[in-house]
Amino acid sequence: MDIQFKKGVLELCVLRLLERKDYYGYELVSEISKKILISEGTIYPLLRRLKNEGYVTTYLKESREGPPRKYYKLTKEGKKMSKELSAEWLDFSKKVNKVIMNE
Amino acid sequence: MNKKEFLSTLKNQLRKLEKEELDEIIKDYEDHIEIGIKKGRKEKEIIHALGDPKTIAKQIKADYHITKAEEKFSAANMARAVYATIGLGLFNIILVLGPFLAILAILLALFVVGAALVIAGITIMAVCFVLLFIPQFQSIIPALIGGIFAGFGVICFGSLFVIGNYYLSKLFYILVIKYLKLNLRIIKGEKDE
Repeated sequence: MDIQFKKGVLELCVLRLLERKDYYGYELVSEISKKILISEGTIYPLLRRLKNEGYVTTYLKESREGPPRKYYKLTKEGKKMSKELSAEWLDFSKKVNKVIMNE
Repeated sequence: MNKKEFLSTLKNQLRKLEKEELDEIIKDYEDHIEIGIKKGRKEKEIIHALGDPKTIAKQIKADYHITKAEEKFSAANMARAVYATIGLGLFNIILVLGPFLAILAILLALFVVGAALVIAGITIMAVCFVLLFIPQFQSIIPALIGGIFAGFGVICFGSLFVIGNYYLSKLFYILVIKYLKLNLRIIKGEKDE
């Protein structure tokens, strides 16, 4: 998959996943990389940026398997942005499909 | 590359960041690697999957400087933000630097025009005023007085240029930040897999 597609869509995927539940970093990375081939290290700068812009907050939760984990949680603005980006993407891909299928 | 090299490269690239930020970022990656190892993955494989630390650092630096530029209205912060965004890939120099320099040049030109008008206005006023007191020019006193008012008008006109330019510059600053953020969303930042 083309890198330029991936970059913009990564944010959408992260937000969408967080809509369903709170994730900790490693969990989020492995969930996304199951479906899309990415450089896993780029998720963390993305998460930092989302936090700085107020779409995401973090909290620590104890873990049985080791040190406390940093969980990422969507804010109200984050939910709004997630829905907006999803709608944009669906609209965009519908239009692109029409062009590709020559309708 | 192993864990030590990965983290030390990252630390080195990000050494100019505030200590709190840097520590938090390193901890994110340390935790990630640790969890991966606990789940049975090999350290080398985890590091390889993370990608190039230099590329990751460039992304973090661009985000960091843009946030700083947003927080404090300053030419230095803006310069760092633009520079860091350009650092994300050669391709972007055209997209980012070109328009930026063009508009900067226009703003500078507008300021120079404004300043020149103010100076010209002052000169006209001063000359007319001085000539009022020279006997040879008694006959054209009305014209000289007219000249003083005209000079004043030119000063006002020039000042409007300068003041308007200040607000235009502020607007430009905000727009540049928005543009840099847009660039972060669409430019290449990671290696091909």
